[in-house]
Amino acid sequence: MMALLELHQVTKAYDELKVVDGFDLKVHRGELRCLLGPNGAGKTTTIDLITGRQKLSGGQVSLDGTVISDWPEHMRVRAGLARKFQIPAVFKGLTVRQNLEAAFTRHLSPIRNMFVFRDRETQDRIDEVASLVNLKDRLRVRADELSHGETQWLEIGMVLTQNARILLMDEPTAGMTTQETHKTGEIFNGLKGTHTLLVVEHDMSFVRQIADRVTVMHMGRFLAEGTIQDIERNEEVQRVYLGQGGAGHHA
Amino acid sequence: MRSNLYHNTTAQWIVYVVFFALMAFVPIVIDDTFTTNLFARFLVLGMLALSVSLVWGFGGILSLGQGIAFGLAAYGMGMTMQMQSQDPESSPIPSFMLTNELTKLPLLWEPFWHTPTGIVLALLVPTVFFLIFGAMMFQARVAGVFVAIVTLAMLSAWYSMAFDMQPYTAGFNGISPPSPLKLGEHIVDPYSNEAYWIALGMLTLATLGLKLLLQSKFGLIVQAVREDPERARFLGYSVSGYQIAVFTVSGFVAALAGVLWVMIVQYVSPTSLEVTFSVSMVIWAAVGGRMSLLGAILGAFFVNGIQSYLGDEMLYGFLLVLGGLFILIVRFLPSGLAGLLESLLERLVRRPADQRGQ
Repeated sequence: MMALLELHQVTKAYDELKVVDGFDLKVHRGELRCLLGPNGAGKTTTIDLITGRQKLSGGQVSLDGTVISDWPEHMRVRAGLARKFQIPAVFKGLTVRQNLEAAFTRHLSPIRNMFVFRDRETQDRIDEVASLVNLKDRLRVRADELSHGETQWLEIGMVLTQNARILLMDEPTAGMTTQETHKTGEIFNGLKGTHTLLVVEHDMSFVRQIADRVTVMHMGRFLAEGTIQDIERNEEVQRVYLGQGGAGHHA
Repeated sequence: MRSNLYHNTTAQWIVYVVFFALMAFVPIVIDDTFTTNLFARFLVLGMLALSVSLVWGFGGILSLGQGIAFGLAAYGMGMTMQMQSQDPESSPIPSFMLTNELTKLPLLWEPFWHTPTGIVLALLVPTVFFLIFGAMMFQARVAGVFVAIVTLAMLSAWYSMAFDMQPYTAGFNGISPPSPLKLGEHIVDPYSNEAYWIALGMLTLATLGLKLLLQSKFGLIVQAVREDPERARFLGYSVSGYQIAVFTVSGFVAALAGVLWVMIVQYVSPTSLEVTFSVSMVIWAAVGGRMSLLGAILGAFFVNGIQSYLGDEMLYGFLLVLGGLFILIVRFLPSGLAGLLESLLERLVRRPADQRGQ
């Protein structure tokens, strides 16, 4: 089976320093893949390279067999990539409803959108996503009045509204309480099969809750891949994480 | 919760429609041609504040160049009305050109023999200019305070041109068409109620049109781009595309104001392209509330009302008053008078029942 997202020998170098170094990754349709690794392993940079926020120094990224690594950001998004940022990025001055509506990208053209008004389909989609991410009662609230956890859910909601082919989540549970993290895990488990997700995370209990397969990066390189049990037993992974105080440290 | 009456779209439409309907009775009530003409001028200045509200309040683009569209359109209309007084046989070229030693009508002026063409050009040229100028700026990702600087520089360039190309523009003196606008056989007297109503009709159409536009998906994305361009780009929207579009629409509205202005004052000079004039538009919008179309229009009425009440002898002193007002508004009322209304309504809603929605 052809992978939906494929990274081939992806490299990012700043002068001599290689932040990502010949990294390979295949994510299949309907899969929830976790990308794990200690701080500075190059996880966020890898996401940046996939979305086009940073330019590759070498290698290529393909989506469904098409090489996209020389496309501009918004073209990649149109091709089906959706990203959730590490620091929650929502439209603070707009309401929760408006944020979700903006993310409902049925049409992208400015001229076309001058003639698009709120309709039943948009409302239904927004209501559906809002209840999925626990924000059903907060639709009228301005985004800058939400709690941190709610802001993260709003952004996850925005990514879901986009109906993208693959969702890239960069530390979706950062700054969340244990309860919020657990709730987020339930949301993700509900998406398996119907959505393809690549999640960067280092909260191990969260990873245990959601992961099918885990890929571990270290110093910009591929280190290991397998089920969560395989990874936790893997000696190399233990060694890398022991230097950081153990893989279970963040749990 | 931000969900008081102020944010109710139905209530907003009612207020807008009632406001413009009431404004239609103003000339009948005052029954004085001089004051009617003054109020018609205020309507046009309100239209400029409207264009600032769109581009700055909603689009987050601080343009100090709205005077470019206004000025270009005003010149186009001035040329059209001037040519209505010329005759191809007996007096083919305006007198100021003769004193500047031109013997033939410049090519630039030729299309303005025909009134409909002239008016269309007066609207089209500034709009297309804003489209190209906007594309140059926003595709290069010029943002924030740099937009203000670039638009200001462009405005100054146009001002110098209008000033220096004396044989074509009559330079400092400006163009004063000898007779009012003729539409076919009909003459639009600038001091008539009719002129006021034309201005009001256009302002109503522009305001309601923009209100509708802002309620569309386009309007939402324009605001999303204002809040966080990077995020909007990751949703797949072309940030520059939306910025160029909103900038162009604001240019069109300012151009419409330019055309109406010359219809009402029968005169155009480089003052329409002055920096202080374009900066004033921003202040009117800020005073009234840049995030509210009607608020911005009322801001223009308010500031210009005070200005004409104080009279001409206070002209330079008034700039001080205006500057002071701007500082106070920015410091204490960032959303202007409309923002004041918003928080008053918020308080009204909060008092009787804490969680009552719309």
